Amino acid sequence: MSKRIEQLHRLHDGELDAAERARVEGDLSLDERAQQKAIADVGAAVRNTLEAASEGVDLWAGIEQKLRATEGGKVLPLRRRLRTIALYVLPALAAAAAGIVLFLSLGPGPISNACDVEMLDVAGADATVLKVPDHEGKGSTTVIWTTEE
Amino acid sequence: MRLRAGLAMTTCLTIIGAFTGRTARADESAHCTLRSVVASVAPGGVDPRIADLAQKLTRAPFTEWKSFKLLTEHKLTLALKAKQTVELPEGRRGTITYMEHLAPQAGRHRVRLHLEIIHGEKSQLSTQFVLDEGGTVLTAGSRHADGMLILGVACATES
Repeated sequence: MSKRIEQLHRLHDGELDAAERARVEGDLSLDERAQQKAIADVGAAVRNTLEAASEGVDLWAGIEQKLRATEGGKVLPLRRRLRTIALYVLPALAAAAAGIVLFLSLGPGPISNACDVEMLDVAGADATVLKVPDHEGKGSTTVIWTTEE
Repeated sequence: MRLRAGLAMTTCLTIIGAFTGRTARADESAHCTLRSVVASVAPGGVDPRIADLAQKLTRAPFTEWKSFKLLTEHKLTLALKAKQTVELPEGRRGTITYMEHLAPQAGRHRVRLHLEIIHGEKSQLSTQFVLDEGGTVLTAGSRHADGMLILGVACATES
């Protein structure tokens, strides 16, 4: 990694002291300035999406309900347990399978621009894989961002 | 009872297998589009020829760039495991390989692709990824005389 790239990373991560920060910021080219802003924007977008997605989620209510359900649980003899599996669990599995089949036969879901990057190799650059939330956070677009040295 | 349960499970698995594997067409060609766009900090907006990318290019992380102009567009038809190389701006070349057509997940068809960007004799970027058919993956950050180069790759096996 070149010294310049390292400086830019440290600037973005807030690791420079005030004097060095002022000097590096003063030397930023238009493109470097834009790239710094780009990385900050992506970070903010991801944070906002996570906060929006978790807003109003009450974990305790679900946990409490599970705890209550386990109180005073019944003990079933093994033979009766097997019968219960045959009578209730297998039909439930069959219903779930039917549900999956129905879901698959309903047609494709929305096309996503998010991809799974399985391998990434760069030379003379740093690379970052960004999953950028789409409009209204309904999906995301994958951006492979390279910063050339 | 056990026999009935076994039969029920076998039937379910057979039905699921029949549905999930119904459209794995490994012999099909992939139709890919490779677009190169230059992003500049000078005002100018989004080139109407890439209007479909406008919503992505006017959001983070591209908000600092104010104009986006299509430089090249290559429409390719690739056989399975075949690769094609195209000329990109400023002496770069892009090679794309259609690796695999994956069985659909949640009704969506996906393709595995390999993309390599070569500048001069040097491989700048080599990546393999799985993408929804019709989706677009972007690579950005390479320098261009007028700003920054963005590549958009999209593929589909259905016309």
